[in-house]
Amino acid sequence: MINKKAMEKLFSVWWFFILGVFGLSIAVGTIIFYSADADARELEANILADTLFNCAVSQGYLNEEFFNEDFDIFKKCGLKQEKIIDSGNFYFNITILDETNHNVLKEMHNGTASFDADCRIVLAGQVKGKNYPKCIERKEEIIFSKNGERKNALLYILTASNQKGKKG
Amino acid sequence: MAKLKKFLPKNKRADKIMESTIIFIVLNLIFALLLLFFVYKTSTGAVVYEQFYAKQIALMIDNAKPNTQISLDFKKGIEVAEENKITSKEGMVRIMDNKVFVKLSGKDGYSMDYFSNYNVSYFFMDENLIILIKNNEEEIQNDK
Repeated sequence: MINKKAMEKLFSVWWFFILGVFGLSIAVGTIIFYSADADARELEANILADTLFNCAVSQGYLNEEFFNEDFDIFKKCGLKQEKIIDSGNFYFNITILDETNHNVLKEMHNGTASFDADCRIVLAGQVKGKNYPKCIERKEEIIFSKNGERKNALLYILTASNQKGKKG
Repeated sequence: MAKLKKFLPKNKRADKIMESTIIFIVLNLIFALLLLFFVYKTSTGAVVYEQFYAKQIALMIDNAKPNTQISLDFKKGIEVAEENKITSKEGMVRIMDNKVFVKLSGKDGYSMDYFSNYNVSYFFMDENLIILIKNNEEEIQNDK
């Protein structure tokens, strides 16, 4: 024989249990969602690539000082050397290839060196790890003059950022 | 009224069911509203806005050219800080050593680095944060 009152009690206990589980799941989900970091790494890598490109190239022509031995990319591009090198969050590589795209005319790289390999893996689509840096790759055909002679070249820029920001 | 009572005869059992159903619905509504309130409070909390403003300011500085003035609407940040009993605008944002630090509550705040080597100064004008970006004079003088 079914005891209706007991059933009602059981139902209400179950109902409160369901409400509790439901409320807790929503609360935990909300806290996890809103405490997660907003990812600005790709934007940051993009800005770094823009900055490097704008100081290396003007109207399609490579900055003449670029081939100088004492060319200080940090000063010329307005970058804070300590932040790029010491923070461990940034990396950039600028390579100039000749028109055959085989010979490297000049290469400069700074920052966390391991990001170079990480970026090549990420850009090849081999992994999508959240701890891998976000990378931006640019290739532009440019003109430069050397010994009074105009030459075509390819400017390759790779930038990476893994800055997530921090509390406190 | 008497005629109406004839059409709606008193049914104690039905009344009881109706009453418990109404209580049940009201309690569920209260629960749903409490959940919505919690989600709203969490989504508009200081932690969210601290991170949002710190990252936005750092990205704006990095993306700016020298001799730029940026005006950022900080109204929501001020509201959130005032809710958390922080009234001094000067303490809400600090930009120093290539780091943007935003604090809108009594807790730790949030910081974000920027990589541009600019001389950055800032001040509040009403509810806007004005950021002035200039070339780093020290380095220019060192170069000379």
